[in-house]
Amino acid sequence: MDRIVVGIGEWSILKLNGVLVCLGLGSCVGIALYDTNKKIGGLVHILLPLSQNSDNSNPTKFADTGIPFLLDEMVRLGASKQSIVAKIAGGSQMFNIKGREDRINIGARNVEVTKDTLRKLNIPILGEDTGGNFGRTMEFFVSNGIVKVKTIGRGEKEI
Amino acid sequence: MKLDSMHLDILKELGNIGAGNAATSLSQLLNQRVDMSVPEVKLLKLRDVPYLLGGPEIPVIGITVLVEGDGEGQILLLFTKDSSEKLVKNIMAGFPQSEVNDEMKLSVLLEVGNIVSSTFLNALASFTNMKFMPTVPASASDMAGALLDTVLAIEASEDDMIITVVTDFVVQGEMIEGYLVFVPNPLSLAKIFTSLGVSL
Repeated sequence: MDRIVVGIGEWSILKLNGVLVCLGLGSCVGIALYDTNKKIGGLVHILLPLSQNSDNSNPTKFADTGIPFLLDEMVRLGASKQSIVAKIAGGSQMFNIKGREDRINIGARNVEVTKDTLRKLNIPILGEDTGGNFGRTMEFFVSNGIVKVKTIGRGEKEI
Repeated sequence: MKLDSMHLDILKELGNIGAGNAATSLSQLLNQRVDMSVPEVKLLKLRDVPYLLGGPEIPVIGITVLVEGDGEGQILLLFTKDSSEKLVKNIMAGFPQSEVNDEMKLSVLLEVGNIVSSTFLNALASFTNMKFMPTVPASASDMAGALLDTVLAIEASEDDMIITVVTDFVVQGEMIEGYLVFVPNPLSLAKIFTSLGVSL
């Protein structure tokens, strides 16, 4: 069975089975899109919320461009937009520095823009494990759409 | 941002001086010899950064400061759990072990972060004639990847490649391994080169 690690700013798509993985998400967000009928799964690992003011050489580094990009690629491979659902994980604030919240709290903005973008695309969010101040590993099982979230010291859960 | 081998050499020298001073300050704090490897200056793809210490899921203690002043950036000091325990034990050697609680351990580590990053920045400041100030330190205990991606998100707004200065120190006898990761903001990096009379 394929197990593909999706690194920062990367994306990947599998059909029918296999596992797509984001390792050690901090402020980054992993967005799993799933065509429930055709069992086509895509995962994108975004670092930043918005692509504006950027040369945008890599659309999948950003939530606002990464999610539509992944959706288009999935449709190109046979997925249908109407049956796609989403599960998301990550978006923590790992460090707390008083008075510098605006500069460091990128996790919350990543989650906010991720949700906005999914709403605009009419993709329902079926599961979510976001925020807090801890890291997460996300495993997306393409055979059934289950996403497992693993942590250090906070156990493991399914979303 | 286009960097050639001369730029990398300059950064290596900066890293060397900064980390050398940091190791000396750590050595004074511990009253033991601290050896440091020659810093590696790496131009890394974003996806490779979480693998700096052997994998994104490795549990580590991280102490970080934001760099402010004439240039921005972030310093992240990483220790494996084992090494952080040994480090604290060394520094707190005069205290009865039963009286050392988690809160004390944490403030010791924060102070280590404070001293090491301040010395690193002082060296950088005198080399470039620029002003750099660290914020108060913050700590986190979690997966290495989770701490590193946060640093990336704060500094890497433009480029898909990022400069890191990584060094490790070994405290004699105890094999305490620590890593210092310095990530300058890409815009600040240009300022640093300009201050040295080097164009990008």
